[in-house]
Amino acid sequence: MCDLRVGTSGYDYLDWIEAFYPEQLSRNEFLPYYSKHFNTLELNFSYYRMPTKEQMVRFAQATTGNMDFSIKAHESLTHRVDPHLWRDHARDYIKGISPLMEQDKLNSILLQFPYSFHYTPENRRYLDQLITAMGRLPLVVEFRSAQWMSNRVFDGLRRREVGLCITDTPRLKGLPPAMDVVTSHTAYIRFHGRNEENWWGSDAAARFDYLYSPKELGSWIARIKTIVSVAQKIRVYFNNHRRGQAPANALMLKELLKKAGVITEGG
Amino acid sequence: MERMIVHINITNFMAAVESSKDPSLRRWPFIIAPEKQARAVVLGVSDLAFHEGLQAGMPLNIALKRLPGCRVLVPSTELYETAQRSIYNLAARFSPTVEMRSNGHLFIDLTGTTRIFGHSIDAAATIKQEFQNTLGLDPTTALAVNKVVSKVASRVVRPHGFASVPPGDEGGFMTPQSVTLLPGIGPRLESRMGALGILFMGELGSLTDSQTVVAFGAQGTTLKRHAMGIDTDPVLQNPLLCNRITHGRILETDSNDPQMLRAHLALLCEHAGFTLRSRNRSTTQIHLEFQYSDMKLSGRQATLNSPVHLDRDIYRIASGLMEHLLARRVRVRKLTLSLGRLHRESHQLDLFEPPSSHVLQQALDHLRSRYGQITVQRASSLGLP
Repeated sequence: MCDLRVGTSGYDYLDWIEAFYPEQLSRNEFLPYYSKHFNTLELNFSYYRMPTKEQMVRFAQATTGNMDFSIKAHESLTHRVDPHLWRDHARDYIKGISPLMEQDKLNSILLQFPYSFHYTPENRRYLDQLITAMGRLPLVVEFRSAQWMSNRVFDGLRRREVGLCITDTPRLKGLPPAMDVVTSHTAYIRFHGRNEENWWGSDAAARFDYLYSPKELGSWIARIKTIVSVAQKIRVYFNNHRRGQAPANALMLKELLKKAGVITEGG
Repeated sequence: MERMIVHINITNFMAAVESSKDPSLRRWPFIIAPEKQARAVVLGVSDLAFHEGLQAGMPLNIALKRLPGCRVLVPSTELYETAQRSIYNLAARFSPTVEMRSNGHLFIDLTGTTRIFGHSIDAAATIKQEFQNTLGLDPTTALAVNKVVSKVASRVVRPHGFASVPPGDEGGFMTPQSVTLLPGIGPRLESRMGALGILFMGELGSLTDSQTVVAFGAQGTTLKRHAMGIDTDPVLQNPLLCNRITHGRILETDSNDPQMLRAHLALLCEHAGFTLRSRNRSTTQIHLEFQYSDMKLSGRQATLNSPVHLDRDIYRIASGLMEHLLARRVRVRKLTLSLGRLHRESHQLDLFEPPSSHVLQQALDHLRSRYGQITVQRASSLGLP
């Protein structure tokens, strides 16, 4: 039976008040409130700040039930890689997230690479070394360059038991093709929104300002059904975080999946 | 207007159709082959059997040695043809332009349908959903601006995945793909490309036109264009199942015995002719195709000046085509007869009484429609299943 969960990318957004969080809710209560609605969360802050053990312990304690976390890799490992220091950063990162592992609350670490991370011998070597340095941690890779989307790469990920992130984005030139390929026991899907007008040349807030319609999410049911048949775990995260659209869409997708019988009431 | 072409591919078509008819089959590996025949070969394998290393084209006894106890299903041509027809009908709900290929392959041109079905990527996913819900089949589905790119994309994500290549990025998508995924690359071309150190489409696309012609002959420039993601071929609207009548027969045991093949051909002509007349049609195009033991296909076609509709005439023309196909001395696995260019039946009626051949045909059709197709048949094909 596939363990399928739906959540959002990040939760600590003030513009979710009223749209998702009740008006009187304090910021400290955001996470417990979130965990009443979703049983998985992708942590994004770890991209900007190196996560610490104390933070992770607080995350684990603030949630109830069997909630798990996926966590984005620090930028020093994906976007601003110093060839002399990245191994130290990787060690710090692993140490920082260790409480999640110890409490069995870590689902995946997301290695999201930028458009400029091209399919070159140097980058391939780096990716291989990074995967090795992360040890047996569950990893998922998101590529923004189409050059990586080939069977040669998929087979390499399979051999290393590393997941490939499946994305929903606008269908624009320059974005990688959508490819539902499962390379490890965990399938990982990120919804970035389809804001075609503001995708290029805007800030992140404008780029991810998009609300999926029920029809758009409904068309995903068949794709998720197929993925369910080959993956042991699926994590779906909505990154269209502007104005509480991500939790609205996450709840919408959960409802659609329940109607289709893909997840049960508690899923 | 931006083109939007969906390629649908039902992997392991025969096994997928069998599983959709009987979902309990999905739990165990199975193969499709004529059972208990000395030299029978595997015609289809289920996903689980494929994972166990079994493949279509493998001798049945070898397959059963590799996977003892593997269930063997007898092929059912009628079931597969009915499935093809259902697939076409489903696809035709999304577009008037559907190009039907054999064994669960088809292209659907969704260009200009956004206002009806929404964004093309959602429409493509909805088609996949309809296949799952209506037919119990889970096809590989790929969306791109042309047929070659959508086909390559579906080959990357098979057996059941989904892909969508953004418009304008065809070249970028194709560059890192293996040349073996390119349509038209068989073992010989693949080996030639390997010898020249061309493993990926980007390498093929970077050759000059003259280099490709020297290396791969006249098809070189087309291969290069395809490798770059350039393809202007339209989706050919061939409503296979409406304006074409196709019947096929899989031999229990592969054979190149002309007498045996003629007997099968006679049965095929009777079945196709009966369908033709029941639709009040005659034909001016007869196509016969052989699939040989080595899985290769070969076909011959006759275009006629005046339409025919009698079994006798269809068989006479088809057996002429067969003589050419028998030149290849390889055992035959499957015969497929197609009648195309259908016209309203237009034979000249006799003023007083119809010719005896028409009377005989009418009598045979009457018997067959009342008591079944095999009630009356040629002596040569008696005993054939």
